[in-house]
Amino acid sequence: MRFLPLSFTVAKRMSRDLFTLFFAILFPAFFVFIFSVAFGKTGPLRNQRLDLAVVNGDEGLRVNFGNGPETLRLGAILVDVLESLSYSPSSGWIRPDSSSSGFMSLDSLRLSAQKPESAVFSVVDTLKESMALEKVSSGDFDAALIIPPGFTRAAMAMAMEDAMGEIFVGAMDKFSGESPRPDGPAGSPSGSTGAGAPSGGGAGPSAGAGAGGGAGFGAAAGSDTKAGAFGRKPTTSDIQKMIDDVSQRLEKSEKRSGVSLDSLSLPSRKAPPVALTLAGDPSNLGFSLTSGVIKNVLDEFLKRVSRRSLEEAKEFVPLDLGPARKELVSLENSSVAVETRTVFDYQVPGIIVFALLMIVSLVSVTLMLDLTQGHLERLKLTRMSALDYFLGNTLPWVLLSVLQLVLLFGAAKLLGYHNMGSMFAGVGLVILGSLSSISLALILASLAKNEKQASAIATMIAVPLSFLSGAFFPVRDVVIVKDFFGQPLGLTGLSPWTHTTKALVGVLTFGKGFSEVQWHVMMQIGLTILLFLAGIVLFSRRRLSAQR
Amino acid sequence: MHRPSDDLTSFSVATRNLSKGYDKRSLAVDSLDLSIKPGEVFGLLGPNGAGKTTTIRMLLGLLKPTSGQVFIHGEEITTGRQKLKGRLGVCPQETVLWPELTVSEHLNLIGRMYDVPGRTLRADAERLITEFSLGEKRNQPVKRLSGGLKRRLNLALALVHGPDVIMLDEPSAGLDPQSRALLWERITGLARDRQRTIILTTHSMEEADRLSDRVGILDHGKMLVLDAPENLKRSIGEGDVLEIELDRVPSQEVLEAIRQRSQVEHMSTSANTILVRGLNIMERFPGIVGTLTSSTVVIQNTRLRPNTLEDVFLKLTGRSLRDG
Repeated sequence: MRFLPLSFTVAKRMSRDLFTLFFAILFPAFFVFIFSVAFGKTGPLRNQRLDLAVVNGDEGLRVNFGNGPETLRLGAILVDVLESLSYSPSSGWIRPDSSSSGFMSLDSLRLSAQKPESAVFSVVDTLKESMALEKVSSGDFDAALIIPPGFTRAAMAMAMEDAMGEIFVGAMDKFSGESPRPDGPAGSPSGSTGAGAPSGGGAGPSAGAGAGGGAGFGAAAGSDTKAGAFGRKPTTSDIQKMIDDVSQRLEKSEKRSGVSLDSLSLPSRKAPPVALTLAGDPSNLGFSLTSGVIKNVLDEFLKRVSRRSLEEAKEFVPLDLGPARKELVSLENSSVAVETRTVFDYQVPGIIVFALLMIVSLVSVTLMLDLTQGHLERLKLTRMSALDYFLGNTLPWVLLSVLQLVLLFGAAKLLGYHNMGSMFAGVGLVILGSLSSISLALILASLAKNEKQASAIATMIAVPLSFLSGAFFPVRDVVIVKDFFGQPLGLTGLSPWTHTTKALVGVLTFGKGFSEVQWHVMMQIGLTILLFLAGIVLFSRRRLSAQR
Repeated sequence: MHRPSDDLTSFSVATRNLSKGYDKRSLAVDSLDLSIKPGEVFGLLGPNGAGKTTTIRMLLGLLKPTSGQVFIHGEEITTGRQKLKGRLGVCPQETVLWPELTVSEHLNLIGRMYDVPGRTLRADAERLITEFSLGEKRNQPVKRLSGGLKRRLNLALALVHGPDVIMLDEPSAGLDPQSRALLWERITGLARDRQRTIILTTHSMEEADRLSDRVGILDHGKMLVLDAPENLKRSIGEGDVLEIELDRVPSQEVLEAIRQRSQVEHMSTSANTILVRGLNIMERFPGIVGTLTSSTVVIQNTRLRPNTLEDVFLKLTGRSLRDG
């Protein structure tokens, strides 16, 4: 237990060194204040809106779903969604409205609890693409969204593919006499919400979902899945029987509703792929944020369109979709959280990680001072073991990190931080993060020649690491292992602080539970152990053993 | 390797063929053989860079020897260092203290790191605070103490766990006369009961002469002589030493003239000082002065004193210890 008196000594020295104390504890809290002024809601300042120029070239699509002919313009609805996207933390941001008369009314996609003063985007509809791009170049706008002419056609094609796929699957299950399985086909609407939608338009999702309808029926259903439904690979005769069954159902539906299918004008399941373009300066934080938000909004938007299509299709084909299947296509629990947060909310966990990385410099300099001022040598003459020294120095710094977190968190809350998660979980993650930082400091103190060199190297390493960890803005990663214990591992994932950041954002900002961030926590623990062992071995060999 | 006939357990500290080289060209310590008995005060004397601190660091196990072995109470330091730590006390050359901690906190920290039980530690710390006259400053941060008080605390830290081998590396360096007197008194007190072995490095002849039972003179890593101070002084000749300080370095002709006219046998120079040793040296003083005044040199100062260890060093190396 010799580490305890050493810990007390280090703690006393810290508490009597106001300069270190200021930098270690108060500076991060001060940093929070600066960020809250720049990005958060504090005092007279409001959330800073992101300036978005929109060039809506969508031509729309003429349809008749039985309520009479109408022109569907999903591009306009999408623009309206972006305009009305608010920061309301409690409510969902897309509310289906069953009372609306049209198939895809504006109300069906409108946000609830709109508060114009807290809108995410300041949207300006411009007519010319060149003008929009010019405004982005000059910094007047964070980004320009260009919606292509075939947007509605492509989006509806995706939705119809999903709907038809679902009809087919229902028929298959009924025909094969099996109850619906809890895990649905890959072509279900839930699978159609491809994240590639913003860049790839309808191409990506429709390719995945689309197999469900038309000529692609057999392939669409997936031979394995359907073989499972029949207990064998379906024959041509089986498929013919299924088609007959669906036709009979459609005829019954016509008779019941009194609407002839021939009078409907349904969107085609075939459409050329389109790509929405989001133009902006990648170095602009506003562009990165806009990109992230729009990606999620578009993803959710396309899900909603698919869902509405399926609901309409059910009017004509009264499929007996069991609870499991309903859950499969349901979008009620889809998690898109960016809409409820401020930029500041993203940055608070980042500042915590930045503060943790600042400790690297302080600890490495403290250890180097121990060395250059002879304290370490005096301690080496005592019975102190290497472990005593490590623990003695680690404990106070871990406690300081926790204290730092509490102060930083308190300051952030006062300045408008919307935290959703457990503070205790945050403390746990901060303890892990501080151990990573202390381990890195041990390594630096083993290699540096003096405290100036240690400080300089620590800064050179810690600052880039804080940015690469995604502490302040999203980082595009380079995947090095596609499947590392269930998740892709990127280059930045080799740094424990990347996982600290992601786990902290998940827990503190999004209120996620341990199971949702456990991969990051386990990675953080694993990498910290590696760093700590490397630090102990290096420091023991170079600083604690007899000099050569 | 030590000789099989050696009974190393009868020595507190022993070295066998101990050498240390920082580069391939020279050795900082060269084939050192020491055998220091329990209760002995051993002075390691030499100019700056002679290898004293390197020797101490090897004795403590802080520095790996290039060759040779160190034994503490018969146990080799490289293998038994952890066990021997509690028996060794060290006062480093530099004052190594934590500026933010108080005097009491220092003693408490180091005592705890040596596993001294709480009650014993409190009593010992109190005793040391009193002995080293640190009572008034016990609760003051060390950064507010004077240099002399810091040196006293530095020494007190070497004693807080009651070691039986104490190594003092230049303990009086930079001390004012009052603090030095107190320090010498403490060292004498420590040695009085013959329970502890004290190894003292210094370049102060007076300190080594007054405190040591035996003195080893080290230069360029080699042990030149090792004996009791009185024996060393006697070895270089009987009588007193006449020091004559001149305005400049005397020529060889002047020195030869003194040697012939005054029949001086033991004469040496150190910079612009002539040292003449012999019995009844004052009888030859007028003749020497006459010879010097007849030349162009001017006498600045003269002094008559007994032999010192510095004379021993001068005789052995041909230069003054201060020139080292």
